[in-house]
Amino acid sequence: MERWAIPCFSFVGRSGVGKTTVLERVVAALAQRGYRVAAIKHTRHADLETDLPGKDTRRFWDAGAVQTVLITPERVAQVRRVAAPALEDVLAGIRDVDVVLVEGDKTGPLPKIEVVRAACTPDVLPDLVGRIACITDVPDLSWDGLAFALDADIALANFIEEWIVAAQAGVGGWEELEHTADLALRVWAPDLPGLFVAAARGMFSLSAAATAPTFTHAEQLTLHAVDREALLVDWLNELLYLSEAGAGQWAYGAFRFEVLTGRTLRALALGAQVTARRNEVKAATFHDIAIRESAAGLETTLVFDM
Amino acid sequence: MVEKRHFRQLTPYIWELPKTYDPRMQVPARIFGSAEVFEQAFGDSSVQQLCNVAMLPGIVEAAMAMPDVHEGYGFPIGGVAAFPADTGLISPGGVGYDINCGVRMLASTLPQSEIMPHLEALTRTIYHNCPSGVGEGGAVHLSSRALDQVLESGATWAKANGYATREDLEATEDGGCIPGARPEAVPQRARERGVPQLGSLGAGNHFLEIDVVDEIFDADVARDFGLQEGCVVVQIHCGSRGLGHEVCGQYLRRLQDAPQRYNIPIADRELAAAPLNSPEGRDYLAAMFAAANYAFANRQVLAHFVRLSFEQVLAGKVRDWQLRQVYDVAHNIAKIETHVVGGKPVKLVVHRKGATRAFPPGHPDLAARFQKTGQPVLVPGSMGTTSFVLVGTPQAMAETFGSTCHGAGRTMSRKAATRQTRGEQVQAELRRQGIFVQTGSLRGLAEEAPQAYKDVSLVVDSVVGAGLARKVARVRPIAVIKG
Repeated sequence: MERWAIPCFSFVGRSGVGKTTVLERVVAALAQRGYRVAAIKHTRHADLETDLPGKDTRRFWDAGAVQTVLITPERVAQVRRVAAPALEDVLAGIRDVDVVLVEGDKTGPLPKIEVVRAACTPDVLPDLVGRIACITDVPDLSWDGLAFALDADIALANFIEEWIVAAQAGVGGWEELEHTADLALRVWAPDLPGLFVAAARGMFSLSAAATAPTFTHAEQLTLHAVDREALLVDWLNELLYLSEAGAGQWAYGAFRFEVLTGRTLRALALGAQVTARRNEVKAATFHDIAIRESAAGLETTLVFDM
Repeated sequence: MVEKRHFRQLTPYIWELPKTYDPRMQVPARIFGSAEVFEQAFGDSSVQQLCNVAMLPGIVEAAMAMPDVHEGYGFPIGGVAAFPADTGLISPGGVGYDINCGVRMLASTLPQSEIMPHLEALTRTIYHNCPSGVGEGGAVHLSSRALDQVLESGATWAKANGYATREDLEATEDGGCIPGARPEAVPQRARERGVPQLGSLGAGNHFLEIDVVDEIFDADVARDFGLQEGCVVVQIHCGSRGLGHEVCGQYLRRLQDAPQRYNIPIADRELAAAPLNSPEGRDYLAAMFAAANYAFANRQVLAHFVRLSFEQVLAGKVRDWQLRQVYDVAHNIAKIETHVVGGKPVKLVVHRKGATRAFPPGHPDLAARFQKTGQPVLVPGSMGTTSFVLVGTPQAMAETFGSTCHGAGRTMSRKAATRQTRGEQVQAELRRQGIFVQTGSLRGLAEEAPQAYKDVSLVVDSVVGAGLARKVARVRPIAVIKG
């Protein structure tokens, strides 16, 4: 498997704040680094023209076709009539790209990067759900999370590139162990963050048989525990709780650790919708847990209550 | 590593590892069962887990394993351990994540021949009315206030809301309501998970089954329990859902430093324990009781929807579709009970993890109608195999703190089971045996394949041989519903 799912972010902000410009520059920076980027524009205007009048496909459309497709040697342009278009349906069909960037969709579930400009309204949108970062020229913005300068294209492209990498196969691994009643994993990685990623992915491989192709959900976690074993158990149980907290079920597969010491963790996790379930993992237990040095770096056994 | 030769045979059905085996052991470890059961216990790490339990300070008499013992986490499944209620410990790992996972049986006087033409429709209706599967919402959505009432009063709440009869409560362990539950001890997150899930089955080994009484072993007791040969019964196996898992997880987390603070040596972190008479010990007990009450209410609500389904499909088509409750038992729980230790009655915290209470005739905790018979004990077999109704004995009271087995007990890992068989095969094989299966997960079906379990008859013969229960009746499935 090349990656767990495709990272997906929406760029939001007040009207006229310059979302398109920011997005255009990020797409350019990522494309220059060789990444395949999908860019989606989300608009409320129902009657927006997508085809030039007089073109053949436009004539088919005007004649009543529900779908028109223009195929040229280098591109495919498709227009569909959909009664209630949903971004998630579009995302479910996206393949062969490294990242999806969406302009708009403030009210949707996607992880959001908000553009805030002093000349527009120098404040973040109230009640925005799922904000993971801001791009801004306001020096004292009322947002204490990650913030990029409005002209820091490279830093922002780096951030998105980190997620593209985080979504790929990890540095660690896991295998299922024989356990009579429940399920057990041996998990290994060269370092502690790698071990936490492998443990989480291993756990979700037990609970999910298949997921949607894109990560459409982000969750921020902050945890404190008595030691790194307890922190690992907390991490897994917290992810398990979050995966079932809303409607449906999420599998988290890409992570970014802001802090990970033996006792404290602050991380952002991206989740993909589970489309086929496997087992009900009730909890990660403390049974047999001990993070040991090994040839692979670090490893531990994890027993899950099923 | 502990081996068979370290044990000595006390009776044909009791095997003891003396505490001299390991200086850390406070009491002996005992396995109850035939030579075959004893042999099987060494197939995984259950015996080591039992030794770890025997090392817990203050444990009374012995760490005990019922004949269906198998590897768990912390305690083995099929484990029984008691501590003095005044000075002893309580351990969330000795109860497990699915607090008050248990079994309920409903019986009818409907002969199998009358239900057969409607069996598929009935099974589909129950599947529809009783939600199952991972993280699935339940038949009842509670307000926060109603959740408090469920946590405090369990099946009594169900009765007040039209989901239960007085007879149902009498035929439920503790009347379906354990006193001393405190909703405020239940963590907020557990509450969140409890609000939408009441009246849901869940996944894994949980099931709902339509059976037929196959054989009666004790005609008098069977009659008192409402069991008639050839007639239809229903079994519901599930627990406290996400709420219980969260209570266990949150308190295990809170108790991680308790062994150090209270100087309690533990051999496995999942055995984290605190004195019952400590703030965290008392809070856990009150929260665990609340989760247990939620589970009683959950099975009661499911029973209600099973009855509704019977009425929807069978009314007007058969003579008598009414379902009377035989009993409802908990098999993952810790309770305060009085037992005779060293000739004196002592209050104990009895942990049963994958073990069933089996109180004898005349026990004061039993409802009037069970004073003469003793407490019904429900022992479900693995999916698609027979199950047993047993009754508690004085000997269980004397030897195992009134406890007996809870099921067949796995012998094969889920991984091995899915390697050996596919869900479609299991479904086809069950169909060939005349068992209709309705499931949301074929893989789940493969993991629960009958060959992954011990033969329940072997387990039941062992508890009967050991005198820990008596046989009343056997039932065989005709339809299975799984999440």
